[in-house]
Amino acid sequence: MTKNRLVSLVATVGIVAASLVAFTPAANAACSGKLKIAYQGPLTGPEAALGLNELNGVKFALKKFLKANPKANVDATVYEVDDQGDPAVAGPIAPKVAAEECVVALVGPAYSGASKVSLPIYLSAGLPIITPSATNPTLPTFGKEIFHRAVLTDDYQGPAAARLIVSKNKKAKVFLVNDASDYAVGLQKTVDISLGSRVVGKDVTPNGTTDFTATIAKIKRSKATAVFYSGYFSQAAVFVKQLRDSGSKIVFASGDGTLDNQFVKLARKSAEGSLLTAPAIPFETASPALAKEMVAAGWTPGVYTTESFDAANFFFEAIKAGNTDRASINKYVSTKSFKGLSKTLKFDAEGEVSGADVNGFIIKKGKIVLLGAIK
Amino acid sequence: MDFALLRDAFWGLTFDGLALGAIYALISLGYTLVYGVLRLINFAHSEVFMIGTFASLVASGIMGVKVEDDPRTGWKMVLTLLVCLLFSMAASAITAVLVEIVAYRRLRQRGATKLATLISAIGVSISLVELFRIITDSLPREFPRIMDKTFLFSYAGADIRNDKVIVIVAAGVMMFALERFISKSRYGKGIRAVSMDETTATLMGVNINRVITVTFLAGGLMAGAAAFFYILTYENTSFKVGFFLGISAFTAAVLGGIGNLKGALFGGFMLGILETYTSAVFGTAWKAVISFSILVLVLLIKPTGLFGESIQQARV
Amino acid sequence: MADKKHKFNLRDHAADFWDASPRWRKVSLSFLFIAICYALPFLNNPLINTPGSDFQSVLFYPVGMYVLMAIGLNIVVGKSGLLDLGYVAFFAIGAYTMAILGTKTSLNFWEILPIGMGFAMLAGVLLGTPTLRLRGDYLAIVTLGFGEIVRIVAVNTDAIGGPRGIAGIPTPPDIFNAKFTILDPKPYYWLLLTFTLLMIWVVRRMAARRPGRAWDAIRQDDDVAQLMGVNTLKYKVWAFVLGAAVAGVGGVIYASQILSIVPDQFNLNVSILILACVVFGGIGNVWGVILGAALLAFTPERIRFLSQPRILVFGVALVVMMNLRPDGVLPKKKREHFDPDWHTIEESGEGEIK
Repeated sequence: MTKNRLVSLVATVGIVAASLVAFTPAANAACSGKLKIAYQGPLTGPEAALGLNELNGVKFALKKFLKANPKANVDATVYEVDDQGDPAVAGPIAPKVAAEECVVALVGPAYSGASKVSLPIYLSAGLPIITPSATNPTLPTFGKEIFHRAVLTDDYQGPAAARLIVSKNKKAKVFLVNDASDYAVGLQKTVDISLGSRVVGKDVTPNGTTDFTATIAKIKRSKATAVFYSGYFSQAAVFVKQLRDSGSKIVFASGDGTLDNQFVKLARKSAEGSLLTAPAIPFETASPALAKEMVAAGWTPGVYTTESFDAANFFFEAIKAGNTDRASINKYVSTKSFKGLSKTLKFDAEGEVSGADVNGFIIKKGKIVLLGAIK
Repeated sequence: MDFALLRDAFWGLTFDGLALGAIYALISLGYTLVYGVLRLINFAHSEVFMIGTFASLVASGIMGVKVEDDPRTGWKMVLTLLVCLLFSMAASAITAVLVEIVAYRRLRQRGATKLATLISAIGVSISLVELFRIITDSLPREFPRIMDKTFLFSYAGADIRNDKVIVIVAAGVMMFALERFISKSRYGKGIRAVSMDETTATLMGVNINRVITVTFLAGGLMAGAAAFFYILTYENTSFKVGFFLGISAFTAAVLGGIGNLKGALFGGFMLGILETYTSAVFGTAWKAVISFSILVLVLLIKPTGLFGESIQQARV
Repeated sequence: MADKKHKFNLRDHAADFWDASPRWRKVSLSFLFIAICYALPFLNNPLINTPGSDFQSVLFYPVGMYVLMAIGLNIVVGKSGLLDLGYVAFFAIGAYTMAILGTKTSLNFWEILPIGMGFAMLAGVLLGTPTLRLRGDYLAIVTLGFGEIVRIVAVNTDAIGGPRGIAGIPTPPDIFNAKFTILDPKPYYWLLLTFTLLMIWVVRRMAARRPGRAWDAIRQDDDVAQLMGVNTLKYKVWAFVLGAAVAGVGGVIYASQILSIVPDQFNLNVSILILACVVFGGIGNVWGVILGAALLAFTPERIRFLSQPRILVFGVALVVMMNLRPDGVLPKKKREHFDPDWHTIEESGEGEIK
């Protein structure tokens, strides 16, 4: 038996050498059918809500585009890429997307973690992307040539959130809470720096925390006048509810992860008066008419629907202008500008959107009300 | 590390920890019952709990409670709460029994290994979580406020809130009822007999299948009650809810000595308080690390948990 | 029970065929099998292709990686009967070693590989020595806790990136003609496959010698084994450490391919899935384990077109398969000399965790 195995192993090495020599890179053939636009984000799994918001935006944009340009050589279905928001899942999927010749542009990835894995692959395939929601500031280093971002990074949102809190109360003392996610920790860091000595305490409540008793006890002891929660809406709702039920009336503030009608729906009265910031703008606020049309078409808008709608429309502009391959579409979106619902998309050399604002919101009578750009 | 907070807010943290612990204890009773009889970790038990929370949600809808309604009062409130509780208990109990039939029965009758059964239960757990994820669109669901939350009194800086008092007291009643059932009723005796010696119990005429069904039923009832108390206190649920509470409740069961009712009870309360304390002192992020470390320490000193594993001698 | 044994059993049949085969046939069959494994990335068959994800990448992760880890976990669970629910921790330690050393020092992949393996083994010793005295399900919860602790510590430690993890992990240097680039998963797959074959060989050698017999004894009855003079703790720790080493190697290779890691990739679900691979395929039988891992890792990718109900289908399939074949798809070979009327308990108790 031993010798048997040894023989096999020797043979194996031979085969490896042979196959390595035979290795040739696959050529990128041109697309022969209709052009496709892809969306990448979590469509199943625990994070699917955000991905579906964005996918709906892309679907709606595609439907409107085809209605206005029935002759356009664009496929009527969005090429859906479900990375579950998980880098490990994105690993095997991204090369497949890159190899689909007809996919000429991609909206997404929705999450920064999955973006870090996917971007180098799209860079080597020359596939242009516009992410509507991945806000990690380091992303351009993974492929600024094809990377574009339709939102401002955490570097902008944090200071804006700090200004918003201070503008409401000049003597604000703030307690910071984050949910230990990539996004939340990054956002909290920038808020922390901007607030400086106003920060009176911090706690981390990992995603999945159901009981905030200890955190609330800390907040009460710190005599904070406001709490800034960085994390996502479902957890934020649980937290704010327990905060109010404990009798605390301090200001609750949070970032774009919480800017979702679901937050109001889940926290109800406890959400009243909450301050939110976001480089994004809710679809209903950006265009009530379009929002109505979208709901009638069977898609519910949510957070980042506006941004993905804009991103998709920018790609359609590029296609309308006669660009039919990845390289020319990439060149178009990298150099031209496009007036979207949320803002004018104009990308700099790093792929970052310039001249955009971070918006402030307040929750009044169960509605997210736009306070305007935070100066 | 913030020991000053623990000192200053000690009674408040203890009270809140007890309320959380009551929920853990009720869930861990299900783990312990099944373990006592089958010597198996019921991996699908967390989903039995999850379904209970959704059943309360459905029941509140049937009772005509709307999310935006003001809290109810008087008899109407009591009735609504009772209906929700019974609905949750029924739904969880039915789920638990079905889990046994689908995931365990055939494998047990074929004399399959423990691991095969474990994987089968994990399969059921994955399926149920995914089913509810699809039904709920991956979104959490809110539970209406049926009972107004008020502070009853203050003791040494601790604000005692009505819903948490109800949870602690009602959980105590549930556990007492379960203990009576296990030690006095015919099926309870059957459960103890099977957990002592399955073969002998069979020889003595105990219907094993029925005893096992009753075990799952009892565990399901407790998990259903826990689900109602959970949703009453926290007023939200999602398809993920079972996972987080399940791990804590399972830890509690092992801490007390799995297979031991008293152990599960004590382990649940102890873990609830422990988690609240460690969250205060070390920060919520380190909660799980500390509770697992304590569990390891306990097991190194007492390898079968604080109370040892023996359902047959269980006395609450 | 009794009627089952007389049925035609493909696994036993194949085993008999193998045992009766002359040497030349064994050699050529192994050779053929290995050749097919290496040629898999070039197989573009619509039957096994993965619509929605890149087939060659899927071969590396999850398929290849799960196979490797399932072989490692099989030493712990299948061979020595210890229920480990925190196996992902060792994978994480390997991956983090690669990520930290790869980005902070000038060491290359080949130099980090043994270090990552070493750290994983060290963690195995540290965890195993105190906890392996515990029995069955107590060990399960302790290992589960260990897996979670490793993840939580990674999330809460800023020095290793916290929840952002570590990005920009270097790829291995080129060997022969193979270039390790992000776009081409094939060299990674071959690298992984080579390690997997090596592991199979090591495990088979071990299983046939003293440790293997000790593990067998421990699995069947811990107390009796100890009574007969087997140093059970020593061999349990050995199994644990060996399993950890395999996962550590897997982690290093994985990190060098994926280029950026975050702590949440190393969650409890990975441990449970790998355990499912081991049991699903057939505990204790390395070929069954390989088949199980390949099937369980591959299926969710294959049915990606189902979109939403994909994982639901996966869960249901798991239940149905375990009910139909409780011993796994390809169970361990049955005892060679058994009397059909007698050994039923022993047979069904195989691989049981006491």
